[in-house]
Amino acid sequence: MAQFIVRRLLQSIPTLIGASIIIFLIFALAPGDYVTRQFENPKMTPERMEQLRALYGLDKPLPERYVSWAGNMLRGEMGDSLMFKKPVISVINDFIWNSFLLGVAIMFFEWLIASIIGIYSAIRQYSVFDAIATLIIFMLYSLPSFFLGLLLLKIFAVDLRWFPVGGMITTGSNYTGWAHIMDVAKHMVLPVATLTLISVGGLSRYFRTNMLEVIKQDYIRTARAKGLKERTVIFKHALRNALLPLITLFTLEIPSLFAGAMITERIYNWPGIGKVVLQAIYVRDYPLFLGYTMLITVLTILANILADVLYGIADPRVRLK
Amino acid sequence: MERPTPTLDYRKKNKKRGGTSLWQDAFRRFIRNKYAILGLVILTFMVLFAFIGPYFSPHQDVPDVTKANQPPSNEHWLGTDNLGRDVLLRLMLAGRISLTIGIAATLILLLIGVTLGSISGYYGGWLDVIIMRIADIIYAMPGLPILIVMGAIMSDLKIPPAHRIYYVMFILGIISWVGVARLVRSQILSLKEQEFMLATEVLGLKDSKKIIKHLFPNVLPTVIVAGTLGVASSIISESTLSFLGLGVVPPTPSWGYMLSAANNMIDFAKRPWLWIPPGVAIMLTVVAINFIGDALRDAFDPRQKI
Amino acid sequence: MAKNLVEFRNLKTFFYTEEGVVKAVNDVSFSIREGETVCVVGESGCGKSVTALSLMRLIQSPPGKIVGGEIIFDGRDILKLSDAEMRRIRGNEIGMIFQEPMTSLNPVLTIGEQIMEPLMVHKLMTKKEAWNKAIELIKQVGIPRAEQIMTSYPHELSGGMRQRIMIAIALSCDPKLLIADEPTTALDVTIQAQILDLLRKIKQERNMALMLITHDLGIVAEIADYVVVMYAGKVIEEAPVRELFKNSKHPYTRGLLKAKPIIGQRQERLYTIPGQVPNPIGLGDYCYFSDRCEYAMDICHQKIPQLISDENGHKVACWLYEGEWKK
Repeated sequence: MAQFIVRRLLQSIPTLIGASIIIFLIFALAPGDYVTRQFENPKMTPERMEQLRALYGLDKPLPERYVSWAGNMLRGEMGDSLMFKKPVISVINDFIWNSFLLGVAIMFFEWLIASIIGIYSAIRQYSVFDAIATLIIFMLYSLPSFFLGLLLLKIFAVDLRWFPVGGMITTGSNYTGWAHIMDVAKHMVLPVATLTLISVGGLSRYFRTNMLEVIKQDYIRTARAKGLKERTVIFKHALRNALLPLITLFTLEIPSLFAGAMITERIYNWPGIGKVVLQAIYVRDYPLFLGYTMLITVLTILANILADVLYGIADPRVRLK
Repeated sequence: MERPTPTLDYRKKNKKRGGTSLWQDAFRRFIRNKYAILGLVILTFMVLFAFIGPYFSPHQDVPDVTKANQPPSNEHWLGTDNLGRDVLLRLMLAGRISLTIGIAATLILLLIGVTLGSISGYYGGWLDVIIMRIADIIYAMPGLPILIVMGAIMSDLKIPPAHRIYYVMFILGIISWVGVARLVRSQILSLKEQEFMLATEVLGLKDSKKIIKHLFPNVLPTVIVAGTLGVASSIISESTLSFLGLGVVPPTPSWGYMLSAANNMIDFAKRPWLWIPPGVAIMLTVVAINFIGDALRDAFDPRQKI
Repeated sequence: MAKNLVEFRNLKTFFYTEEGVVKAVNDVSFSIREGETVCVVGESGCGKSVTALSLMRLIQSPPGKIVGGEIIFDGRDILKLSDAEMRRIRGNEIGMIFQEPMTSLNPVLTIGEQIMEPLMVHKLMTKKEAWNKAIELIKQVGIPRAEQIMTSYPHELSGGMRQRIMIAIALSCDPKLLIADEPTTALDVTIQAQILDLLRKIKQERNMALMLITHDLGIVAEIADYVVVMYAGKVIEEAPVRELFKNSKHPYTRGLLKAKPIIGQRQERLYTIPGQVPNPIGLGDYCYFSDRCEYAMDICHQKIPQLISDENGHKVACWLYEGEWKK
C-alpha cells in the first residue's frame, strides 16, 4: 500500500510539471503582462516600463521565468495578488473556506438525494416513480447552472422575497452565535439548492445504473435463495457492490469542495474563492489565478491517488501494488 | 432471479436467421425508447425553429429604439430587447449560432479524441505514454477556469467578433477531447485482444486498413454516444462562456449571450422576457440531446454499462 | 413408497418479452418424493431451470410470471404463500445451488459471513453459534483449514471450492430439498466428479431430496433415482432411471441417449438430433418435437400429445404410444 502511494506520487510529478508549464504558457503568451496591466498609463514612459519589467524579472527569456516561477511555487510562494495587494496564499485562505462551507452542504444534499432517488428508481425500474424521476433528472441535468441560479434568484429572492438576494450575511448586521448561523444558513439556501439540483441528476443516474447492474448479478439471486429479507438483499448485498465505483466518484469530487463555483458564487454574490478568481480573470490578476489553478490541479492529482487507495481498501478483489 | 434464457437463445438464433446486425438491433431498441422519441421531437423542433423559423418572422433583426424594452405582446410574442429588436427572432438566430458551435466543437473534440485515442491504443509504446500523459495533464487542470481564462485572452488578443465563434469552437474542442480519447483507447485495447484482430494479423493487412476497416466500426457506437452527449455539454459550455461575455459577442447573438442580459439588475428583475426564453431554449435542446444520447447508449449496449 | 415432497401441477411460467410471450414452462407436472433424487434433463432453454426457480419463486418479474398451476411443497401451495412465508422456506427448507460458482457468491462479503447469514436468519443462531456451525459445514463439504476459509473472500477460492461453499450454504439449515441447477457444468471434469460425489454423500447422510438439473446424461446415470425429460417447456417423458435408460420411448430421449458416447464402443460419428430447438415464441398446438422427429406422423403436426403413463409408471407424451396403451 505505502509502496503504491509512493509510486503514484512519483508518477504524478511529470503530470504536475506538464500542467504547470501549460498554465504558465497560457499567461506568458497572452498579450499584456503584469507591468502593462498594473502600471500602464499615459504618464509612464517606455523606459520606465522596461525598468519595471527588469525589476519583476519579466525581461528574462521564458524558460528562465518559468523556472523561477515554478521554484517559488515549490516553496509555497505564489506571489502577490494584484487586486488585493497581498500574498495570493492569504487571499485564497480568506475566501476558500466560504466556498468549502457551500461545497460541503452541496455534497451532503447531492449524495443524500441522489442515493435515495437512484436506488429507489433501480428497485422500481419501469415504475411511474422511475419514469417521472428520470424526466426531472434529465431536465435538471440539462440546465446550465447559471440559468437555474438566476431563475431561483428571481423567483425566491426577487419576487417572493423568501431568501436574501445575495451575500453571506445580512449587510450591516452583526449577529453572533445562533443568530449568525441562521443568517448564514438563510443566505446559503439558494446557492446550495442551485448547485445541488444541477449535480443531483448525474449522480442519481449513476446510482441507478450501478444498482441495476448489480441487481442482475448471480449473487443477488443467491442472496434471495437464502431466504433473506428484500431489505437485506438490497442494502447489504446489492448496495455494497453498487457503491464500489461510487467511492471513486466521491473522492474525485473532493477537490471541488475547495474549487468553489465561479458562476453560482458570482450570481449570489457569495464571497467564495470561485467568485474571487472569476474577478481575477476579468482584471487579469494572473498571480492569483495561477496560484489557484495550481492548487486545484494538485488537489485533483491527490484525489485521484486517494480514489485508487480507497477503492483498493473497499474492494477485496483489488490489491494495490 | 432468472434471466429469461429462452429469450436470449431466441435472439441469438434470430440473428443467424434474419441476419439482423448490431445496427439494426440498436435501431430497433432506440425507436422503442420513449425518451429517445421525445428527444428527437424536441430536437427537430429546435432545429427547425432556429434554421427555418426566422423566415416566418414578420420582423427584421434591426434595432429600432422607439420600440425598446417592450414586454411580450401580440406583435412581439417575447417582447423586444433594449435596442427594440424582436426577442423571438433573436432567439431563433441565436439558436443557429449555439447549435452550430455545439456541433462544430464536438466534431473537433471527436477528431482530436478519436485520432489520439486510436493511435494511443493501437500503437502503444512511447506514443501511448506521451498521449496519455497529455490527457492526464489536461484532465488534472480545472476545466471551467481554464475555459474562462482562454475566453479572456481571446478578448486581449482583440479577435474580431465575427471570428470569435471559430475560436470558441476550437477552445471547447481542445479542452474536452480527453474523455473520448481514453474511451476509444480502452476499446481498441480490448478489441486488439480479440481473435478477429489476430486474424487480420495473420492475413498481413496494413495498419491503416486494420484501423479503418476492422477497429473503427467497432469503436463507432462509443464515438456516436460520446459525440451526442458532447454536443449537449458543448452547448452548455458555450452558453456559460458567452454569458460571462467571454464567448460569442455582439453582433452575433447566441443563447448564452442573450442570457447575459440578466447581468443587468433592471433587466434581470423587471424584464424576464429577455433572459428566460434563451435559458429555456438551452434546456430544451440539451435535454433532447441528452435523451437521445442516453437512448443510443442503451441501444448499443443493452447491458447499460456507463 | 415415500410420500411426495414436491408436486408440480400444471405449472405455467411465461416470459413476456419484446418479441412475444415465451412459454418457458408450459403445463408441467411431476413430483419429487422425500429422499429421492430426481434429475431434470433437457437442452438449454427447455425450461428446466425456470421450473426450479418457479419452485423457489425467484422468477424475475417482469418479464417472467407464473401464470398458472400449483406447486405443492410439503403440503403447502408455494404459489399461495406470502412473501414472508416464502422467505422462511427459501434457504431453510429448500436449499439451492447454481451453475456459476464464480459469480454466485457476493464478492465483497467474506465466505464466513455468507454461510452464517441463513443460520442467523432461519435458525436464529447467535453470531458465535453460527460461526461454529459454519466451520462444521465447511469441513463437511470437504474443505480443509476451515477457520482460514471463513475470513477469505470468494475471489481467493477456486471454482470447485466455491461450489463447495455454495453447497455448504444450501445445506446450512438442513433443507428437505436441495435444488442443484447444473452444479458441475462450469467446472473442470475432475472437479465435476468430486462435486457429484459430495452431493451423493451428503444426500445419503441426510436423507434429503435432490432435484438435479442437468443436460449431462452421464450424471443422470450416476446419481438419479428418477428422470424427467423436458423439451421446449414441456415434460415429454419421465421414468425411474433404469427404466428410462433401458427402455426409453420418446424419440427425443432416444436421440439424446444415442448422442452420448459409450465407452468401449468406437463410432465413426456421434449421432446428433437433426434440427434445433424451436423458437419458443408463438408455438402452436402440436408436438414441438415433430419438426425434428424421424417418426413424425400427420397427427404430430396437428395436436399436442398428452403425458400418459404405462403400467410400470413410465410416462411419455408421444403419439407413437397413444394407441398402444388405449388397447
